[in-house]
Amino acid sequence: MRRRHLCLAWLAGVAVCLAVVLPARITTDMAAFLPKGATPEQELLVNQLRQGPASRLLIAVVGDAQHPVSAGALERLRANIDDTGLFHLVASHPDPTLLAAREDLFRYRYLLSDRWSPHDFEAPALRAHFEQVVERLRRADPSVDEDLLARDPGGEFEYLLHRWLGAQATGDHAHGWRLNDGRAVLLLMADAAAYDLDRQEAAIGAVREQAGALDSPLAIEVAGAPAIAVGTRDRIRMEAVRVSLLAFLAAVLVLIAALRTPRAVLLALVPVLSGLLAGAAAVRLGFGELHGITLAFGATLLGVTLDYPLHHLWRSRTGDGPGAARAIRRPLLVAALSTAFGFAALAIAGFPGLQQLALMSLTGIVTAAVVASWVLPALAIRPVRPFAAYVEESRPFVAGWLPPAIAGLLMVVGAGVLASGQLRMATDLGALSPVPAELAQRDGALRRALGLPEPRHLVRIVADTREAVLHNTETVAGTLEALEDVGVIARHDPVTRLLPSVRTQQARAQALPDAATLAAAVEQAVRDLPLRAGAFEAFVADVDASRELEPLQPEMLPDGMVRQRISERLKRREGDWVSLVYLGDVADPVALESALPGYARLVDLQAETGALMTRYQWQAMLHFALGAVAIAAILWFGTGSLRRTLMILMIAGGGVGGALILLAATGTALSVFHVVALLLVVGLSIDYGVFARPGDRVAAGSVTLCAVSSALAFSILATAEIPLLRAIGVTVACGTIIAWALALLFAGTQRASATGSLR
Amino acid sequence: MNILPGVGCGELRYRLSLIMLVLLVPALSQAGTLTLDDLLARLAPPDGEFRSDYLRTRESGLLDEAVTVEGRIEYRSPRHLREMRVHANEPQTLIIDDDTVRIERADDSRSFPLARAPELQALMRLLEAVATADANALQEHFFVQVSGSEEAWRLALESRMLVHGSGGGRDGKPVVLRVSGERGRVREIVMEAPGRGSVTIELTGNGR
Repeated sequence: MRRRHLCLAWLAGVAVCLAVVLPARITTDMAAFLPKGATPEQELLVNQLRQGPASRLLIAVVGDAQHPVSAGALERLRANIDDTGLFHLVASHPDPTLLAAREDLFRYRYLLSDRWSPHDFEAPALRAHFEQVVERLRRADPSVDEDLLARDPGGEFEYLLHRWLGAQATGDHAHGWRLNDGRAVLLLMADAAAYDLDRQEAAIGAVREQAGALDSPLAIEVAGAPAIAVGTRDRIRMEAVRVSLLAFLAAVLVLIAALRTPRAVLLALVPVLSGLLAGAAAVRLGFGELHGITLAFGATLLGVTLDYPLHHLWRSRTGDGPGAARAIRRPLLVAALSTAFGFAALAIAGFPGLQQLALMSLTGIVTAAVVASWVLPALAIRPVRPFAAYVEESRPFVAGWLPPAIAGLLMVVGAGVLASGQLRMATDLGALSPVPAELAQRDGALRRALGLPEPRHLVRIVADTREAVLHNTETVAGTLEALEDVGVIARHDPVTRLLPSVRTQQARAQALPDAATLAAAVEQAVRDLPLRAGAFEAFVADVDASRELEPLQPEMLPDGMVRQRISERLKRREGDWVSLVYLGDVADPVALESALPGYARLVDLQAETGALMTRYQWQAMLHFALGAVAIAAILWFGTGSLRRTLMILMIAGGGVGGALILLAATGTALSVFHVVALLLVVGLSIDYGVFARPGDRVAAGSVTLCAVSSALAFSILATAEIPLLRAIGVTVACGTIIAWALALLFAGTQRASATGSLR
Repeated sequence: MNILPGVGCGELRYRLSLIMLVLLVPALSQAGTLTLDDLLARLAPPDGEFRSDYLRTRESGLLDEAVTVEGRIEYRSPRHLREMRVHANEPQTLIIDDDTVRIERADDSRSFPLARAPELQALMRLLEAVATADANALQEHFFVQVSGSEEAWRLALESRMLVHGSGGGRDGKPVVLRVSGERGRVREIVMEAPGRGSVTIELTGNGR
């Protein structure tokens, strides 16, 4: 009766979990696995790491160093890509005619430009401008636009373009963007939102297609924030599938080696798969989604939870199913609980993605243990024959002092390695980012080659309205200008250079002369110059119109590079407005800091990186300590024997120490994920300690198999490209093998006991 | 023998001549009409190269007087142009190579993409089509109209691609080239581009 109830209950549970999991989407959003910043400065840093959703710029590098691409071929490629209609912007050089906001910026030129004064509209200054106009017209430069000259004789628009797009934009050396190795560059912006990865992927695919479809196909590499997002998504998906499949395969192979019969293998898979399913369902219910990284990590559970059915199936060889189940239930649950506690360490605050991993592991392990303890005996009607015999007695073969000595040594050396600083702490933020290292490096190299420096210093200004923050930015920009003159900073780039505050725009509009005044001045200035009558009528009309213009707001601009640059520097944060002023090299940060007013803060992204990393490492170590204490408590309560508890703890400690030593030996930098993984090692070591009992060759065999399957699963994880998964995989694989060895050594020190009980 | 009663012999001959003329004129004019292929075949230089001295007059929308300079132009297929002139006692060389324009003066030199100067781009396309006698290429880039006879022909080209002003203005206008000449020789090229006034190049001296 009871058996049937159990089976039905289990089936019901499986059905519920399937119903929850199957419709779930697998997400690959990077944001879940990036740390949350504790301070606003750190929040900013994390945003930089994400390369900002506002950054939709794609960088396409064309050609290779041996065969530089000709201007004609590049232009043909550019035109073909433009024809696909998938892009807002396709530029091979800074061409002002490609600026989507060109018309608006031209119309607003007198409100946006900071370099004119009312004098510039009086006759003497106009005369100087007009003389230059005549000169340029006489020279008959092919690139001269007469309409532009006539409407903007002072060259205000050209000045603005120069400030926004750099010297290259205004025609002097506009050869196009080239890297140092001669490869050409195209800047593109797809007609798709930054988060719309499907359309971004389609756009990137179109670029590659066009490059290959030319008469002489061009080599092309696409980089930039959207490309990284798409690439990371693909990698995460691939990793999830690959790791899961390999782990499953490995698990099945181990089971086949251990159990030999298909029925046994299937039975063994029942708790394992139940655990996985329950874990996935819990994540879906708790977080609403299932992340690809979580799924990949969850596959390792297969290796960990394999222990439980193995222990049970081997114990039940005598045919006394329920008796065996009862005997093993307690140690199994103790082991499972302590392992689960180890995995719970993953729920470190500030890493929402890791919390998903913790929930999945916890649920999975507990479920697998429960199913192995109660449901499996109900299902296994006939006994299973393992291949190793149970040995009743054996002599101790290891000296009593050896295993504690080894464990002690490992712990001491491990601690020493940690304390002495032989083990580097990871300071590279890339260790925390789920972006595969190769993608991040390539992007960084391209940006440097293009002269887009990694931002390090910036000034952060906060106010409650947009107008207030712009006004404050203008004030700060004035200070920064003075500092630039004396060399304290190399250059600065405030958003108000593109978008002045409303107040400033209005002041400028009012300072412009009215039509009558200007027309009179123009007439006087034009006297005796070989220009047609009415040549500058459009200019007068434009200036007059500028006086009536509504101040420019970002919403009035079309989507494009200008709008994007504004949104990178002007943001909304929880009801406040934030303006970021990027700085070039800062020679004297102290002087700079003291010169800034109270509402502006100097942020050093490099320093913030260090602070963030340190914070998380300390937190991880705290979790480790707490988790270790909790596990020790469970053990003592479960075993009732202090001696045994200590022995098991020494095994775990040896495993941790050994892992630390190996990490130091291979020169790996320790990141917060490594620390978290160490508690995982503790949890798994417990399992071996609990089950590896003296003389029990069967148990030794099963412990070996468990260690092998765990180590295998985590070794597969160690081959992942995603840094977080790799860190955990490497640490745990090392730790478990050492712990296993120690467990067997400890077991070998004692005389076998005939009862085969835990105590 | 009198066929038509009421009409004298002399009158008849006169009327017959008229009828013959009326019938013949279309045939005659047909013989004189030029097709684009014909014209290009005549104009094409043997080795894809030509050179000539010229007189260049630029009419600007702003300057009250046209500016006239002398110069020399050399074209070599494919897509290589060299133009030398003297502006206000300052010699200046303009070189167009494939897609890049380079202007060299005594005090400075600049280069920029050909796409920045649409009238030069149109001129290069015309010259390349003439140098290779490729009517298709010409029609790919322009709306073409040939008129006149072999003795005095005109070629009117309107670019298919529109040019927008660099400052404001949404409406684009085409670049217009008007070429005229006699037999196998080009006499004059007039280029009109929006925002760039109009330039008349009168080819003098040797070469086609």
